[in-house]
Amino acid sequence: MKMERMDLSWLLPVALMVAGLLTALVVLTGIFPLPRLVLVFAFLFLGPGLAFARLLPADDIFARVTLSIALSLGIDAVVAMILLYMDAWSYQNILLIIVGITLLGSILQISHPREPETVQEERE
Amino acid sequence: MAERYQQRSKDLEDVKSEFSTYLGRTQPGATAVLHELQRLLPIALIAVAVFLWLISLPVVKPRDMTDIGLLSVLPVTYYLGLIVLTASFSYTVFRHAEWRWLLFLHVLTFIVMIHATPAILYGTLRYSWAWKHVGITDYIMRHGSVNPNIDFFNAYHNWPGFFALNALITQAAGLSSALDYASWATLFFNLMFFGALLTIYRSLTTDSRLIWLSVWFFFLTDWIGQDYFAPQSFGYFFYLVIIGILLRWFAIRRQRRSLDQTMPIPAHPRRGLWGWLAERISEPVEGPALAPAQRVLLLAIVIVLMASIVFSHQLTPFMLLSALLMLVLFGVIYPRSLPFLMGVMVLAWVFFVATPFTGQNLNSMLSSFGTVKSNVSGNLINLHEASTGQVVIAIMGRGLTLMVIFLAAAGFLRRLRKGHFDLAAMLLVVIPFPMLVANNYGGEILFRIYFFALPFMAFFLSGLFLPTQESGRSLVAPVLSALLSVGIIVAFLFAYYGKEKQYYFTPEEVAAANYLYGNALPGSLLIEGTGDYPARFRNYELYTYVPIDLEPTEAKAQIIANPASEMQRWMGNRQYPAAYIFITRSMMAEVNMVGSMPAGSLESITRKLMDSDKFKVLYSNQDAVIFVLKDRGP
Repeated sequence: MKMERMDLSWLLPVALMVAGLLTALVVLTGIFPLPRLVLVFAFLFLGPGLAFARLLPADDIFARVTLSIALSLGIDAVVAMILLYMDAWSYQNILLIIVGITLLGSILQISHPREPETVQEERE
Repeated sequence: MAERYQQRSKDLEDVKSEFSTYLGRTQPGATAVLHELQRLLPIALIAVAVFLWLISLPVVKPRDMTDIGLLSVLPVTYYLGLIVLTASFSYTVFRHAEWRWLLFLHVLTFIVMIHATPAILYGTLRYSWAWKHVGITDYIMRHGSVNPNIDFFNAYHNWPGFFALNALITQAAGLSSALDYASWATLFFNLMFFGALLTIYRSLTTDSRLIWLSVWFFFLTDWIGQDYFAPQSFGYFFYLVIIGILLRWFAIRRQRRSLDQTMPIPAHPRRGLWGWLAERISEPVEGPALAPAQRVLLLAIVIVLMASIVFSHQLTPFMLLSALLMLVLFGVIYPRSLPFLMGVMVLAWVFFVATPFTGQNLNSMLSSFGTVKSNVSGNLINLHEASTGQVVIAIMGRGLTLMVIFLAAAGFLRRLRKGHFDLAAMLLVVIPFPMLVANNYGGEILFRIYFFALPFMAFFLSGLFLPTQESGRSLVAPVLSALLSVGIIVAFLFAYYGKEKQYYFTPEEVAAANYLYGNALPGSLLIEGTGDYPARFRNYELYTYVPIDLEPTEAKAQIIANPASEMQRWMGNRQYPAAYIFITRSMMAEVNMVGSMPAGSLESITRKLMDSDKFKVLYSNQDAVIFVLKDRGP
């Protein structure tokens, strides 16, 4: 008998969008220092990469997490460098651009959901 | 007779069958219990190792370190913890390599025990260069720009990617300085190397034991110390990830096999030597087939990481360029345009963006090209000048390096004899070595070459024990591997922890440095005993630095003989609004251990300045002192 798993593929992108917007909120307003610290580190180290991670072919969690962190730091660095060399350094603007990239990746994930996985339940 | 014999045989088979059925009904429970008990053993051993590590920490007094570094203050329980962990890992990897999470826990525990220990014990950022890197981050935070023409550290201003990233993180997190988290960079980078290495090794072999043993040996032999808050660590992580992605998802053999998965086959089959070699690439690992969108995304990631390397570090782009070039030339990976793209990016950055640095240093870079002997010798401390402890440390480091190279070569040959020609890994071992001809990289090229070759040497070192899927089943391989691991750990601890006396900065030294950078007048002259202190981490561009130990030999001799008059002459220079002499415990440790000046020189200079009526102490505590001229005053 074939059972269809509940499709929760929207959960991660939605969580990322919420995390991105929350991070932008606490950074721009400067409120909640401790949550700000945690959110910024978690978001900058994982957010942009995870937004695209679902599309990656990584076949195990180690590779997926490593790729997500590498991609996140890579995107952060590229955006920061572009604004640095444009003489337009502003950590708020850099963060907003990174949040934008994360939102884009998250929307891509939602608009291109993976086929729901099926499991074969063996009959005794 | 024959019928009777057949009947008896049939009866015997029936009995066997019934017995097997009986066993089948009763055994699974017992087997499952035994299986669970076997699984509990490594978990218990990991817990013991962690416990031994945790009870070791409170008794360590970093201030009491001798010239063999942390080893002199770590209690025996710390070493016991490492031995227990090694025994448990060796058992698990050879007997139950399918327990991936347990193997993961072993390596994780090792990384934490080694790399979190200094951060926990010291409470201050270790290693003077890490402080200097915090200073560049601080510059970007204050100015929102870099100054490629700046006098001090202009290389960093021409390759500022790592610092821009950290300025972003620090400011966005609401922190005042990267110092707040930089101590944990070593642990972070080693964890990142871990993930990247797993991806690489999975592309080289399907043998789970070989994958995990290679990871283990990498961390046991990575004594170079390029894992701190530095652009090299950042670039190296990206280097490993790029190599991992390309070997795992863009290997040409896999490309051919996945013809039905929308992947193009090379237009012309490879012929000749390269074709012959390419046909023998490592293990024919089957990975997940790539959909076109995934291929595009992975290549986009590779390009983003390549760009990050290009603008963050001087050496890594050339290492990566060489690696890509050789892997493409030998038909190991595709797309073939990647080295070209990387080459264009590197040249564009070096000649169109980092022009101030390139213009100033091109001649010296070209002059060191081909001078292999001086490029090598510039990397090694002079054993005749170093302290006894440092001689031991240096010998341990050099011995470990040579042993790894020798064992890796033996492992390569052993696997070759068993029919595995690991072309990709072999190329990646060899690729960094030509850099010896190119440059001495500030006297560090030898260590960087080892660093870049190490992941693949660790693979071959493990291959010595596991040349094939069938090998390593007896007791010999795990026992030998465990013994070798323990031996390597001993050498590793000497080599990696051996310089901690000079890398460690006490809270008093940090307080003195904070006072100096918080109070020194902009434009001042800062005379340092050496550069080994919590240095240049704040407002660094405002001062001129003169480390005494880097002065010519004659000048140093004059200063040591008569510091008061020499320093008075230097500090009387009205070009500077103020002048300070800064001497700390860590500087004295460096001088006495490495021998950049005669042992006791800085202690002697300090005493003479204290006794001189020309100088006064502006600030002092038990580990640091700041002098100014009496008649000038800051």
